[in-house]
Parts: sequence; C-alpha cells; structure tokens
Amino acid sequence: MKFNIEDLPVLFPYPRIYPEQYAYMCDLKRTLDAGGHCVLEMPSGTGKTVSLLSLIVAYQQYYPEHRKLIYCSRTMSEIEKALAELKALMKYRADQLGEEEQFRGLGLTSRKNLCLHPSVKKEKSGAIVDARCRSLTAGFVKEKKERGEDVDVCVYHDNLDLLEPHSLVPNGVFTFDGILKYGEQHKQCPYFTARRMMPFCNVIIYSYHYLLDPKIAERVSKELSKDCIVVFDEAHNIDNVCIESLSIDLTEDSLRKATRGANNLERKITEMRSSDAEKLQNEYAKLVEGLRGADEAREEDTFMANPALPDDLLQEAVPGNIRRAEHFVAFLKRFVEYLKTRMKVLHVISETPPSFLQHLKDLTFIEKKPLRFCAERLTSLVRTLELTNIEDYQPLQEVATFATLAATYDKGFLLILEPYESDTATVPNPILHFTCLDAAIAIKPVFDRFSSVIITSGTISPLEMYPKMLGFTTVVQESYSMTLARRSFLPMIVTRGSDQSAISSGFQIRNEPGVVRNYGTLLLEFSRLTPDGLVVFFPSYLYMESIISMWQGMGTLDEIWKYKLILVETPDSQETSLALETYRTACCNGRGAILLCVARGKVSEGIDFDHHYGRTVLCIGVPFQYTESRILKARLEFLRETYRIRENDFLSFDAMRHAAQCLGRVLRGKDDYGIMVLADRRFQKKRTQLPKWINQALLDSDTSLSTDMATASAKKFLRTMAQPFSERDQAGVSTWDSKDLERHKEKMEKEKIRELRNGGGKMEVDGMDGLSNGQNGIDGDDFEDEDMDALMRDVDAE
Amino acid sequence: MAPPRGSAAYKKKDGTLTVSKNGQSVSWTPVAPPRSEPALTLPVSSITNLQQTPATNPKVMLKIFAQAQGTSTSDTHTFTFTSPTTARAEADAIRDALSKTIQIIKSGGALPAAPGGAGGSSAAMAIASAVSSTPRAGADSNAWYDDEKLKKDVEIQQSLLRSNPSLSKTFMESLRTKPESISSSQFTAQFWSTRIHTLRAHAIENNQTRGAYNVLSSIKPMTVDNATRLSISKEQIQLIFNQHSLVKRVYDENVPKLSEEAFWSRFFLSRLFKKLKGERVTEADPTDNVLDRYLQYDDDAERAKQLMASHVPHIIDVEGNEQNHSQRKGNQPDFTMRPSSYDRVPIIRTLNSLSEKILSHVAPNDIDPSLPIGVDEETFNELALRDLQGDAAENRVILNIKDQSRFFSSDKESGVSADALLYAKQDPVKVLRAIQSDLAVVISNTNLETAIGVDDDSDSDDDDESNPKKGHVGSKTSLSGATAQLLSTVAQQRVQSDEPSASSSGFSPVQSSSTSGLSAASFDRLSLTHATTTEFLQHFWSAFLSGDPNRADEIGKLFETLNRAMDRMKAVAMDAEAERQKEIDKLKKQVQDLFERTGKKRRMDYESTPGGAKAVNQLLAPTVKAIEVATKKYKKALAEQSEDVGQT
Repeated sequence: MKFNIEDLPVLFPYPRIYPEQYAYMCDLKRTLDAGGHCVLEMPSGTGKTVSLLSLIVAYQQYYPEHRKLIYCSRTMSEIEKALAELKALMKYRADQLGEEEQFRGLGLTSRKNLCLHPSVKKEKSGAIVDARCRSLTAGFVKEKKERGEDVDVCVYHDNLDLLEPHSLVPNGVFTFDGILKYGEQHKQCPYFTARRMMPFCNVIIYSYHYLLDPKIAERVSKELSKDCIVVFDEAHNIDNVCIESLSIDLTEDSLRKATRGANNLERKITEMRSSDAEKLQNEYAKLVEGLRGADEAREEDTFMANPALPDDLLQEAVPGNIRRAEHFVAFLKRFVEYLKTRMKVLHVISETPPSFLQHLKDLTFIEKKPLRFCAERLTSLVRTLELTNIEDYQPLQEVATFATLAATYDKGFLLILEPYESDTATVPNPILHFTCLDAAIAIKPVFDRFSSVIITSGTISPLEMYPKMLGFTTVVQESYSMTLARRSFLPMIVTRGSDQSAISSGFQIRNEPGVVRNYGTLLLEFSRLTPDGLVVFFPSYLYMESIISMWQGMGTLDEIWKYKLILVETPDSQETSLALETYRTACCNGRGAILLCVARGKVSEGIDFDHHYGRTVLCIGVPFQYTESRILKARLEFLRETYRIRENDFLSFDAMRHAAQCLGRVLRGKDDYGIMVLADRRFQKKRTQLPKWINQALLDSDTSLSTDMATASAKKFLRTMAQPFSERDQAGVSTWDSKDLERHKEKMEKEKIRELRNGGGKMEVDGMDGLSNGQNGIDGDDFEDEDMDALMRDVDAE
Repeated sequence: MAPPRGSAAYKKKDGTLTVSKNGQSVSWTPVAPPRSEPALTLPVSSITNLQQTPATNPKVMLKIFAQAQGTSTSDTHTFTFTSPTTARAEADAIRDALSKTIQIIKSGGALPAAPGGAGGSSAAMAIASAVSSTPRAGADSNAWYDDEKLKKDVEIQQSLLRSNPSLSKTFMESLRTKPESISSSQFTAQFWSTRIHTLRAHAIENNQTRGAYNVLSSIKPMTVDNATRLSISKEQIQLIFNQHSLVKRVYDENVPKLSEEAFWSRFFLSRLFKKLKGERVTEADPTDNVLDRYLQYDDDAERAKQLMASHVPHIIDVEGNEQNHSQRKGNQPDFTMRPSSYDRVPIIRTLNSLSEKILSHVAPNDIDPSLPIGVDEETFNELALRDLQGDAAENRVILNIKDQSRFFSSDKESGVSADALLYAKQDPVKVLRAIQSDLAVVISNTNLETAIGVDDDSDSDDDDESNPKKGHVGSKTSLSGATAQLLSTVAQQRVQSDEPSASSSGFSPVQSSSTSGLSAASFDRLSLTHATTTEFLQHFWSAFLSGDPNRADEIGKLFETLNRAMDRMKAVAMDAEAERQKEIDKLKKQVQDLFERTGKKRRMDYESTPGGAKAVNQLLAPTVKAIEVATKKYKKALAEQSEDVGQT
C-alpha cells in the first residue's frame, strides 16, 4: 500500500499495515527529520524490520540528500532475513513505480560465511579462513605473482580486478545466498565484492562489530559520511557487544605463543636485514612522520587491526625507542616476560590501568608512551615483513592490543588476574582479564560521527537505561503496545509447582529434587498440551546440563519422549544447527518436538520460533548472570559509581531483557499465537520490568499460578485459538488497510487542531508521556532486595 | 552384484526365495530335501502386482500376484520371510529387484501409456505432491497422489466400498441397472472417476502408520512375583535395531553364541544399555564381559560425516552466526555459561542423535539436497507477515447466474410459483381500488380490530357466507389461510432440508420422520433409484459435455438408460401407490370392522393417507426435471447433428 507520512510518500509492501508499524514509521521520520538519535521498542514479530526499511528507503529516495542506511544486526541469520525483506521491498517498489530504481543493497559477514575458495571454505574456524584468505589475496602476494614467483592466489579474488571497481555486481539487493550464487556463477569472490561495493551501496546490512569493534570499524566503515542513518536492530544487548569489542583475555598459553611469535619476528627481521635492508629503512623513515604516514599503503587487505586510537596518536611520530624493528621486538619480548611473571601470582588481583602501568614501569622501565603505539607498530612491521601466516602472530597481536588499550584508557577498564579457574580448583590456570566496564567507550565514536542513530528492538525496556549506559541523548523514545483483535499470546507466571511449593532457579534451591521434579512436571504437562513445537530456555548451560541429567534419572524424560522428540542446544554450533533442523522438521510433520536451550546462548539470538515452530516458550528460572563473576561485580560497581545504576536494578534489568527476548521468539505476525510461560517465583515481582506489550497482555489472573492452573489456562487458550479467525475479524483493529489508515490520519489531524486550540503544545504532552512511560519501569521495579540478598548469600556459600 | 535372495516359507514349508541372475524370474526352493530343484518359478513378466507387509509389521511377508499368459485369473503366492534378523532387508531387496524389472518390462512398450487420460497425473496430484514435503522415491507412497493409479487400484476401491455401506449400495445398484452396452470395467472407471478424492482420502487413511518412537525409554522393567521382568515385543526389537545400529551389530555377532533371551536380559542390565540411554556409567554398574567390549565403539564417525555434508539455510545457521565475527574478542563467559564436556553429561548428545535418528527417514524440512544454496523465495515466504498480505486470491471459479429461470423448463406451470401466477392475473387497478376502500373503512372506524375485520366473536368457520367483508385481511378465513400456508411452507422446508442427506449418505437424524409417508422399504428403494439416476445423469453429462465424438455411442446408450431410469421411477411410484392403496384398504377394512362391531360409522378421509405415487413424484420431481432437461438437450443436439449431416 501507498501512503504519506507528512510530505513523504511511503511504499509499504503489504496491502495492510499494523497500527504499531505506522506509529513506528512516524516516529522514525520524526527522528530523521530532527537529525538526532532515538530508542524505539516495537513488539516482537510485528514487522519491525519491514517498517524500518520501507520508511528509510522511502526517505532516501524522496529527499535529495540520499542518506545512506547502515543497518546493523546481531547475527548472520538476522542479517540474511533483513536482506530478504529489503529485496522484497525493492521488488514491490519496482512493481509500483513501474521501474527499477538505481539502488544497491548488500550485506557483509565474515569471510568464513562468504568464501567460495574450494579448500579455504572447508576450514572450520573463522580465524583460519581469514588468515588463509589473506595469504592468498594480500597485495604483496599479487606483486610476487606478477614478478613471476610461484605463490598461491585465489582466482575468485583476482577475477575482481578484471571488473570495473565501482560495478562489481549489478544494481539490486543481494542476500548472502544471492551473492554466493552470483559469485559462483561469475567466479568472483562474494566477500570482497561486498566489501569493495560498500561505498556504492544505498543500504548496507552488517553486524554490529563492523561499527563497534574499533579494530574493524576503522577499515570497513571509514568511507561512511556523517549523514548516514545508522540503525542498531535487536539492540537490547548492545552494551554487551560494546564491552566485548574492547575486552581481552590473556592466558599463559597465549603468552607462550606470543613469545614464539616474537622470536619468529626476530628471525624474519634478521633475514630481511640481510636480503632487503632498504625496506626496513623505509619503514623507519615513515614512522618518524607518524603512523598516518605509515598508513598510506594501507589497504583493505591489511591484516592486523588496531584498537580505537585517539587522533593525536595517529599524527604523532612513533617514539624513538620502538622505531627500529629490532628494538620494537625486544620491547615486546620484555613486555611479554613481564606479563608472565605477573601470571605467577597465586591470589586474585584486580587493578586499574594506571596502577598496572606504574608497576610495569617500576619493574621494567617500560614507559606508557611507546606502549600506546604497540598495536599500530606491530601492524606496520608485519606489513613490512610481508608475512602471510598471520595466525601465528595472533597471540602477539593480542598482547600488543592489550598494551595499547591499557596505556590509552585510564578509566572504564579493569585488569583482573584470576589464578584459579574456580574457587575449588587447586591447580593454577591463570587468566588475565582486561575488561572494559563502560559500554559508552566503544560506541562513542558512532554517536560522534553519525547524526542519526536508531536503537531498536522488540524488548528494550526500560528505554531510559540505554541512553544512560551508552552516554547519548535521544530525540524520540517510544515503546509501542500491541493492538490485538484477539488475545493471541498468553503470558503466564508460574510460581508454584504441582505440589504447590515454590519453584525457582535460585542457587539455594535449584538442585533440590522437589524443585527439579516440579519443573519436570511443568515441562511434561506442556509437552502434552502444546501442539508442534515447544522451546525451553534455561538460565545457563551449567543448570541446563544438571537439570537434564536429573530429569533423566527421575524418568521425566522417558515420559516426555512419549509426546515429543527432545533436542538440545550443544556447545558445538554445527551440531546445534542440525538439531535445530531436526526440530523444525519434527514441528512441520506433526511429530512435535521440544528444544532445550539457554537464554543467553546461541539459539536465543537470531533464531525465530514463529508459528508452529514454537507454540509454547517456557522460561525455566530467571536468567540472571552468574553473580559471583568478578568481571560482573566490577561492572556493577562501575555502573553504580559512574551512572548511578544500582546493582540489583542492573542485574534484574539484564535478566528480564533476556527473558523477554526469549518470550518474543515465538511471535511473528498477529495471526500467530503462542503461550509464554515464566516459571520462577521471582518473576512475580519482576513483571513490571517486562516490555510494555508483554506486560499489558499479562492478566493478573495469569500470575502466580501453580502448574495445574497454568495447564488449565493454557488448554483454554489453545481451544480459543483453535476457533476460526478470519482476517476480517482483525481488520480495522489490529490491521489497517488504506481506508483505516486515512481515517486514523484524519482523527490525528483533528486531535492536533484541538490541542492547538487548547493552547497545549502536542510535543510537550508527548514528552511527558514518554517520561512517565519510562518512569514506570523504574518505579514499578520494586526490586526484592531480600530476594537478591538471599541469592548473593547463597552464591557465597557455594 | 549377487542376485537378492532370502529365506522364506511358502505354503508353510521353509525354503529360499531367489531372484534369477538376469532378474527375469523369481523362484522358490524348498529347504527340506537338500539341493532340490526350485519348486516354483515365476517369470517376472507374469507378475501383475506385489504386496508387502508394512515396515512396522513384525511379520514380513511378500505377496506376488502372477497371471499366467493366456489366462485371465491371477494366482497369488505368499512368502513369509523367516530370517529372525534380516527378514525385512531380504524382503526389501527382493521386492526392489522385482519391481525394478517389472517397471522395465512395463515401460518397454508392453503397455503404452494412456494418451491424454487425465493428463498423466492430474492437477490434484500436482497439488498433493506439492503439499507433501517428502517426495520419496518409493512408488507406493506416490500412488496416493496419482489419479490414474487410484482409478485402477481395485484393492483400495473394494476396501472403500466395504467401509462405506451406502456407497457400496449405490455402486451395486448402479452396476445392476447399467446399460448392457457399457462393460463393467467401463462402468467402474466411470463410477470411480468422480470419486477420486474419496479414494485418495481412503488410501491415505489406510496408509497412515504410527511413527517411530524412542524405544529404549519406553521399555520399563516390571516386578512380578518378586522377580524383575521385562517384556519386549518383536516390533520393539526391530525399532531398537533401527535406532541403535550398535545393538544390531552386537546382536549379530553374539546371538548364536548367546541365546536370544539371555542376550536381551543381559543387555538391559548392561552398561551398554545405560550408555545408549545417555545415562552416566558409574563404577557401581555391573560389568558384562561380552557387552562391555562394545562400550568403546562410537557411531559418531558417520554422524560427523553427516554433519559435514549438511547444508543449513542461513536463517537457522547457528554456526554461521557464531562465525559472523571471526575476530571476536571479549572476556570468556563465566563458568556457568561454559558448556561442560560430553563425558560429564552424555545425555545431551544422546537426545539429539536419537531424535535425529527417529526423524532420519523423513525428508528434512529446510534442506533441499537438490539445491546447493538455500532458496530465496521460500525464505522470504516464511518471513512474510501473513495476515498483512490481504485476502488470498480467489482460487475458485465463480458461477454467475444472471437469469435463473433460463435453466428451468420454460413452461409456465412449473417454472413460476402458484402465487406468482395468481398475482399475475390480478388487475392492479382493481387491487388498488380494493385497498383504498379498505383504508377508507379503517379511517372511518376508530376501532382497529373491527376495521381490519377481526371478529373474535365469530366462532364458526362457516360464517364466511354471511360475512359481508369477504376476503378481508382480518377475516377468519384469510387468517387461517395464511397460517396454513405458513405451516405448509415450514413443513416443506423441513422435508427438503432433511431429504437430500437422508437419501444419499444416511446421515440425517430424522430420516424416519421425513419419508413423506412412504414405507421404509419403498423409501429406500426411492433413494436408491434417485442415487443411481443421479449417477447416470452424471455419466451422461460428463459424456455429453466432453465433446468427444468417440463417445457419441456411449451417450446414446446413456440416454436409453435415462429413459429407463424414468421407467424405474414410475415403477417406484406405482409400487408406492399400490402400497398406499393397500393401506387404504386396510383402513377401510378397519372402519368396516369397527362398523360391524359397534355399529358406528366412522368417517375416514382416505385421500389424506400419506405416501403413494404423489409423494414419490413430489420427491423425485427435481430428478425427473433433470432427466427431462437432459433428454431435451440430447434430442436437440441429435436433431442439429442430423441436420448438419443432412446439409453436408
């Protein structure tokens, strides 16, 4: 359908639209017009992506600026889905407009996922694929080949050089499958095709990391202009991604490998000194002028990336003591040796970067300044030496990155040395965590650089938490409720088992046979009554493993086998994919299956269980993080001191966003239906922290249920859902056609006029509204301190 | 490749069933006298059909239908496979070999494929196979979807007739009264051609079997008389072998040495059993010198291969998601989020592999092996928001009837209702004047009741003559007239809504009450006649409208049949009338008796006795009309044709 939002004509690829989609688009347009950032929460499965794309593409094509869209999502699955939606949208637009627009949309994922090289693509690890790919495609490899040396090259990559650099693929939208197919047909590398075409694309869809991880962002995203529209979809977990991109773990093993790497480098330098000393001299000369100068030769194929560096660092000359290659390697070796001695300590140490640097200086006379240049200096050296087997130097690179980060940032980071893996272990296996505590550091360049950043997800409550944690201001903050013509999903909170005793995954009682049995009965009951697919989420791998073993021992699983097949998420992602495949097949052919997985695991991100793939989602236990983790404790402390976010607030918020995310997996469209069960006593008090659209659908009568009450309620719900429900029933209520939309617009107009007459500004009312919405999240969150205290205490006891 | 063979019993004698080297014959050799000559040899070309017990059946039998050349009767030979372990495999091998050869022979020109027909496979088949996600290679499963095969499959037709008595009755009656000129096979083909959907439903219904389930979890020891007992069926053993190839191997290698019973009793106590169930083996578990040897065996090798070979679509590719960012940094997850090794929780792996095995024979939902890379279109269809897509395009032919009267016989009496005729006769001027005069009375009179002529005091029906306002709205007569008309309409409506279902399928709950006064016997006859007539009408129309010149003869025959159907209906009517007469006679006699005994004479309205020719004719009126239309059309077409012939 076609409609206007203010002056902007929007083509929406369906004949009908959900009211929330329209509201979402209006708010998006408002954000783009204002040129600011926003946080939007749109109920899961109500077509967020398609609304977003339709509006932004319309915006791009209508206004002369043609602002580019950078759409970031979490996982490859989600990127692929977004690409498919974009493709369909463009097809619809072409049909409606009667012509194909000049439009390019491409997605980018790792080499591993896009490789066509017959032997490289078979490698299991992504890092090895990267390394092997580089060794075949690096610039100097090609030079060598031209010189007539016998080196392996990748024909898929080299074919690209024969094409016009700005038109490697025709106009249009390519999904990953599409570009792989195209690459196979034309014998060209999909990865480099996509990457080199990035500057010519109207829409780029890729993973967060390409913007957030400074190591990659620098290279992949540097051509992007300031007026780009940046979207972070499924952004409820964005703070963790930010933190992840700036944290590093060092182990004894990686240090050992780093030493080996340094020794190798030394040898290579001697070799080169004897054969081609001029090159090293050139490098030295360049380094005097600063790292930027050394950077000129930098191309897409540079292999080692660098952390976020302040601009002054790049302009400055590299300190004299590490300019010479030999000196630099010696410097690195000294640093690694120092780290090794630190690892020998047998008690936990946690210190800030300045304290670490001080100690380092006292012991080894290594200054802060050269340390800051480590990462970039190493990259430069590796390039000069024309090394191809980069994976050997990966650990050394990690050490260098660590050095640079530690020397660059005083605040927001912490070094934690854990000599033992667990409290009970007796053999030391030390790990040095260099952990980022402040999510705002990694995302700051994004907010600084781009004028419009849209943070959106199905479950991103409470909204005001995100601007706080990520350090930005919004022009629009909105959470939409879900208009429904019938109650199409049934959220329930089950607090008691079939024997009426409380159920909880709290540490104190989670392994009690009574609780485990109650959870087992709950699962059994739901496997009996749920048609097709049933998804179960556990708070952690550890808990899932132990509870499954206990169920097996109790014979619960034997009972469940009678109704459903059982599949489990495993550490091996390939095996999990296959299990998922079996699960979907069983759901489709009527056999029915249960999928047991982990709330923060691989399956919970990016895999949908819509329609018959998930008629019930069962959340066993509140997915709290492991509160005894030192990293988590440090982060909590940081949040409290810096952003005034209380520990319990954050823990509870974090648990509930993951729980909500799990619940949202089962819905797609309003004709879909599903049961959402939250099975833990502690959910009762946390219901206010659920996203608005779930909380609104959760009736008081469906809270604090026992297993049998929940079963009865679910049965009744399923019977209602079995009644015929035609599209006509929801027309005008939960779906609008163009006429309904017109009517709504008229109403809004009238309201606006009335408000203007009354003298009250609409904006003000809106602002208030948003505020009070947000407030609810916090005020309502009467976090049960005693509960959390109990939790903490028990952890201590363990 | 050695020709397939298997030990099989024939006529309760043990022996060996072998397919000859060239695959052209199958022979059975008895075991009893060693080195005896084959006792039975069947050339494959004579085999008309093969039947096998379904895979879930523990008893493995192969039935061969053979038709010796020159004869029309076919013999059936049943072989029961006797091998305790590999019976199924042997039977499958032999069946496959035979069906292959049969197909080669058939396609080799012995039977030219029916040209045209229903277009080889009908649209319904195309839809059906599109719907089924598992286009399996087996010919037997596809048989459900092929119209032609269904039409020819006598077995299914017979079994459907057996399960549906009313259909069977219709079939038999139509068969009995069919025109001589149509052979019974032609008739059967005609009959079933309109009932393909019923056949298909029946075939599918019969072929549905319970899927595989997790056997090991369903086997539970029971304590009887202080002794732990375990009972397992043959079927369960079969399933265990299917799901756990390791057990099959262990069984194969050990059973001659161990007795079957001992094997199973030891197996269910062994560590191996625990391992297969996914339970952790502890030190306390009993050891078993034979079975424990297999503990180390891992059937993961093939699984790993399977893992490597599979291609998962991107939208559920967890591995791809993990590899999406190859330079991932970050702190390692805390220890609760780190999965432990397999040895600690063997159950997790068991659950997955078992589920996969149970579903292994089902074509996967997402992976299409014929495509190297996932399908774009399908992915998107799954993503689309279905309820926003608007109404699905109308997938049916909409019948637009503009002038219904055209379709009924043109003569006035039957085409237009009596009321309409009545109104047509009236003069509008007169009517208007009458109404006006009535209104004048109303206006002049303040009492509404008297104005419209309601006369509560008049209690006799025959005051009509005296009533000056004859035919007035409120008069007793017009009121009762209106009531009578209403009631009769209701009754008629009821009869009509009950009747059709009563006659054809016997679903009607009020069958007895709506026989229109006919006796049950004659009503049954009536409905049967109706059903057969409809059947022939259908044949007639399908032939008549086919436009196929070759069927002209057939149409003529069918036309005669229709005429005869008319006669049959008349006969039914006559019989019903006779029956009614008998009833009347009986009533008369009763009255007579009564009169003789009591001297009282009772007035009887013999005319109102229900049933008889009138009822029959009333019920069959639409059918008669339909036949008349058909006759007329046919005659007209015939006339036109002969005219055409005359002209040319």
